[in-house]
Amino acid sequence: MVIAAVLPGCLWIPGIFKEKADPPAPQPDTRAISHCRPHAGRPMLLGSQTGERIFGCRVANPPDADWRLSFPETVDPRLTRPAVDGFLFAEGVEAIRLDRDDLPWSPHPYEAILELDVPDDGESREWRIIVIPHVDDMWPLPDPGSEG
Amino acid sequence: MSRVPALLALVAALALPACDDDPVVNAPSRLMTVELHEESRQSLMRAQPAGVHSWSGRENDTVAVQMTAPVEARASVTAVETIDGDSPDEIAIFLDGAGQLGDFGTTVNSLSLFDEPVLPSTYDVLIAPDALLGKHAARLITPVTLSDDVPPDDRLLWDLQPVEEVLGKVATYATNQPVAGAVVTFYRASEPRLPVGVTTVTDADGEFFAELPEGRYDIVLAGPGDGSVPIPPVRLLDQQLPLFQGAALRLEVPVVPTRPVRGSLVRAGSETPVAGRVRIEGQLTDLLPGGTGIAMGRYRAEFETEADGSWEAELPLGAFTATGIPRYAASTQTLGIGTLDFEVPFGVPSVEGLDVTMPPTVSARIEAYNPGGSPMVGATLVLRMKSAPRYSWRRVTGASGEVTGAFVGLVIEDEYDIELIPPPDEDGQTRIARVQTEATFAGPGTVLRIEARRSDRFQGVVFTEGQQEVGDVHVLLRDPETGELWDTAVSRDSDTFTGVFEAVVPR
Repeated sequence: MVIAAVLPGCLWIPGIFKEKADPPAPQPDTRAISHCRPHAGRPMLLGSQTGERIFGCRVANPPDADWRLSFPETVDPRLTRPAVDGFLFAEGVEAIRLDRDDLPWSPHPYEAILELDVPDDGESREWRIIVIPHVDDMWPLPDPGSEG
Repeated sequence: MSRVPALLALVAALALPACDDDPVVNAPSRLMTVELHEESRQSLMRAQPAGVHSWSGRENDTVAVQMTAPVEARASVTAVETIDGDSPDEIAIFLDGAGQLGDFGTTVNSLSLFDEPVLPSTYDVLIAPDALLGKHAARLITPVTLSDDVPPDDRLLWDLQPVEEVLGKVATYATNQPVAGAVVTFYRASEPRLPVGVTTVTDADGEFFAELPEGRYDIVLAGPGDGSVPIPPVRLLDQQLPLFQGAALRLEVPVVPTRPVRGSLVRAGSETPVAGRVRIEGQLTDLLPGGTGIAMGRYRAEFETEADGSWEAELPLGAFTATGIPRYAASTQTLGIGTLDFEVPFGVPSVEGLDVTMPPTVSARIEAYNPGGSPMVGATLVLRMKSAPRYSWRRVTGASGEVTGAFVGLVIEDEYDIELIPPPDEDGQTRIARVQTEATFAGPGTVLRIEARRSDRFQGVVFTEGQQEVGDVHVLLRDPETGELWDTAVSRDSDTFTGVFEAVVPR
């Protein structure tokens, strides 16, 4: 049971002040990649209501971080893949902004895999991104906020 | 250790001075926006904006940040087979509406059940068989309020609607020639920016087949993204589908003749070819006197050049811009983005020699300064282009000579978001907040000066509604007005001081 007594101008709590006076130094975080936002490994939409998304993680050694995009085979073989695989577009950063305009154009939804790779530590994370077509670029549509 | 007594003791211990300490009141008060990101050990939705918090400026005042407890969202998803009895390989669920941090996707389990902890909020829920990539129609349900008011045994019912057969044919206007290889996509007329997730391709006779729930749709016809079928893009608005008694839908595209177009990406000055990506955008020419009355969308195509930088495309008649995008190479980035306007006119058999000149990168100097004006050595500069392709990279300010406290190098001409991350001190502690700014590098010799602001270090604690301290949470602190990132920290995860983090905020 914690017993606390407030004295004029200060607080006494058994066992607490000693730690407060000499707080332990935080242990170095040895994880190469952690705390990814949004959580890695889950599908994300890019381009329906949000044309731009931020992807980021806590990276222990940011200079080693590479960000690449790749494009899986299409479900329907009659549809073409949008681009060559594995193009690098950022390095040395913990977070990137990805706008659908940065990605290849396609008239249909397609899948892109965003990969954060820290090669020296053998760690990587992937996000599966479903890219929505840029229909506004082809036919300007009314601003949904202007209706009514 | 926990719960209410322990938390109060912890906060009090951090907030009040020890008996033999003098009270410390020496800095202006500050507001800050706090975002929390928990590693996935508990619930995926523990990534949340935790709102604006205040710090009094007193060294021993602790900022207490409460995490919002997730609620268990439970739904049963009823899939619908295709007419042939095919089921989707997967059903993705996308939730939008709680802000970027709350947005997420997942897939239902093998029993078609959705069971996820989510932040209590109101969402748009998109049920997407094959994740919008196949032939099964998605359904958008909005709004859906997910809160702890729902009894734990109740389960929402999210069903997909029955589908009907839609047949169609794409042919040229007036000449009635079938159009093969056209990509046909569908949008609900009420959601013109969100595809239904049904994509089909016309066969050699220009015919296509799709399965859709009854309703009103916008139908988009276009060639594949790589430009291999150069047809005018057409959007047919607000069509009731399927047609009466299964009649085939007829879609017409204007006849716009095409011409072979050839060019290269070349390095400015030397005219040396270089490989990269080519993005074509333009407006097509309707040759029919008076026009066809069919509104053509802007034409787009994108493809890779050959290894020698050459490119070739079949383009309809019209006026275009070709954009050459160099491949990213941070350490040797010597090329910028080039554009070339050109026309594909009627009276020529082909258009040749379209060389898109890639300008050289330009020299820039970015100087970093400590509060007070001394050069900041060893600081990290993160540069992010603001235009496509939005390449990002980092540099470190130099320690001697002309580059003391500065980065001198080459950058692609563009507007940039630039972040200055001060180096830690000898103890590994950050003492100065980050700085974010914008700059335009256009032409050689741009000099940018970034000075960090005097900052204060403070302590905070992350806890849940149950008064339990939470360790291993990534804490991001931002300017509440501009969103500028000031500092990041991870809350401690130890027997003592769990949930405590330390960070800096600028004055």
